[in-house]
Amino acid sequence: MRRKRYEASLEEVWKEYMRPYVYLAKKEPKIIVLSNEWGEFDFKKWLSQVKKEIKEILREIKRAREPGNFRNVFMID
Amino acid sequence: MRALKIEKKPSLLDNLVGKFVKIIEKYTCYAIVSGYVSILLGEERPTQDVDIIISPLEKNKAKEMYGELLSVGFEIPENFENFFKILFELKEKVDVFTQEKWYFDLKVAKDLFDRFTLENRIKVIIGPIELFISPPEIQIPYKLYLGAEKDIKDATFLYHKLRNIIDEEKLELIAKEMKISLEILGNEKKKI
Repeated sequence: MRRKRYEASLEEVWKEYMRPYVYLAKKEPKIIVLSNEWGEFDFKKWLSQVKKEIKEILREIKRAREPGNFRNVFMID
Repeated sequence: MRALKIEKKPSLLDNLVGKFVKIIEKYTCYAIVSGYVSILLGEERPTQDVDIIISPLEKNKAKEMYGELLSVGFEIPENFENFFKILFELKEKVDVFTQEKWYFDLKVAKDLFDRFTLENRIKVIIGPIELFISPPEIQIPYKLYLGAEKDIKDATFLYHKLRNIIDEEKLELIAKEMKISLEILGNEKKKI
């Protein structure tokens, strides 16, 4: 019995679609790491702020992809 | 600051981006986001736009930047007043066209993700060009959240290309807040 695409397991999806991109990532160009030092950014503090605002941030990301994202530009003052 | 060197000859697009950001960085902090980052690092896929996040600018500085972009041949359909209003007041994207087939989407930083991107941007050196790109710890979950096939492929490519610099803990914490699963990336730790 044939399986529909949406019935594929995550592993099947991974093998079919994503594996080539892992292969490509291992090919050229070579990336040389000159420095991997983070600055003085306070990640914990930032993350705690994100936890409070995450719904609004995600809504905004989604809005940016929707056709309605031009509405502000055409608003009349 | 994290910094990478890419061992390849800059492409026509890389040179064009280098010319553009050389002007932008005179006026403000920026980071290149979205599909071009994957292309810069070696993914072969088409794109027509390069998305760039910038820090807010005073109006007089924005006017200088606008004038300099025009003076070197970039094309901006809006006059300065509209350019400033759309970009810095309405916080919407503004297109800056090149004489070739590409255009730049400028966007001013407006949320915590943009702040993370600008404050943790990564320097990339490619030949004589220096660019700043978004950190993968936020770019990858962001792309997975967008969820189009090209976004997921970009995220997978970025994860494996930059794996030796990625802070896995930060990546996982950000993904967790976005309710994004990282399993699709093929992370062996997750044992898919």
